[in-house]
Amino acid sequence: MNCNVLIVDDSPILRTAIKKVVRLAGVPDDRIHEAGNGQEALDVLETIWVDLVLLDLNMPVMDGEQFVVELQKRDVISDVAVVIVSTESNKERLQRLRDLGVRSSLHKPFEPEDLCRLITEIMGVAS
Amino acid sequence: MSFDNKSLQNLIMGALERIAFLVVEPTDPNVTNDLPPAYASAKIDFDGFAMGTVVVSASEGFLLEMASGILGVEPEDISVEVEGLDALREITNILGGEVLRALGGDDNPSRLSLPEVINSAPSTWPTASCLMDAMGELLYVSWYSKAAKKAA
Repeated sequence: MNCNVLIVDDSPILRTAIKKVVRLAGVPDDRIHEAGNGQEALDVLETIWVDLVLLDLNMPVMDGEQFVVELQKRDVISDVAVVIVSTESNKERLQRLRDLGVRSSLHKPFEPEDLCRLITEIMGVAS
Repeated sequence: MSFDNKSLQNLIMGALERIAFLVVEPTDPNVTNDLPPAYASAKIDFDGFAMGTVVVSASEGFLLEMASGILGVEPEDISVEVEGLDALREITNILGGEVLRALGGDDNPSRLSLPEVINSAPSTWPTASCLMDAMGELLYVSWYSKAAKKAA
């Protein structure tokens, strides 16, 4: 799959676990990038083109929602597929994020197959 | 919504199976057992329509097994102070979210804090708690409910 994926989560162990699933979806290692919070993710986006962001919400420094708002302000939200991967289940908040341009969401704890399927669904057409 | 020890047990078993491929079983805290002591504890607070704290304590062996399950590597390749404590914070984050969801978080506004490793659990009696046996290793999860904020 020829796309760049950015995993944004403050837990290094979860980033590693998600990275394995992204690899299983067919994304090569050198196209998988990581960030520990929203600010680090913005820094990554300054340097490389990213097709898909797998985004946690509950993070220090800059949380996932602030990151999405920042993408919208910079007018790049429509160019990047953002998928929330978080413990968040509140419908109102998830709808607000969708209104801001988030593509989809996956509730933690998730089955690896569900994440793999979601990545393929979202990026499959573009790959 | 009623939320008791049994509900908490089910959330823990489901979460650990999905995130770390670990099978854990509840055990009676009133019966003498040979489970090792807790190595570390972590907590997460939630605020909003429901308020409270979830505390997770685990033995060293459990932390190694859990981190090993999440990463798909052997427990011997895990550092309890690095991956073990990171796994503890993450399962605390997940269980905080699951408790909130079970209380009605899908339809009610609420916020989770960041999970943090703590030195001691709250001194009050928990609203619900579970002692789990994971292949001879200890996992203890407790939920402390606080009075909810009234809707505006």
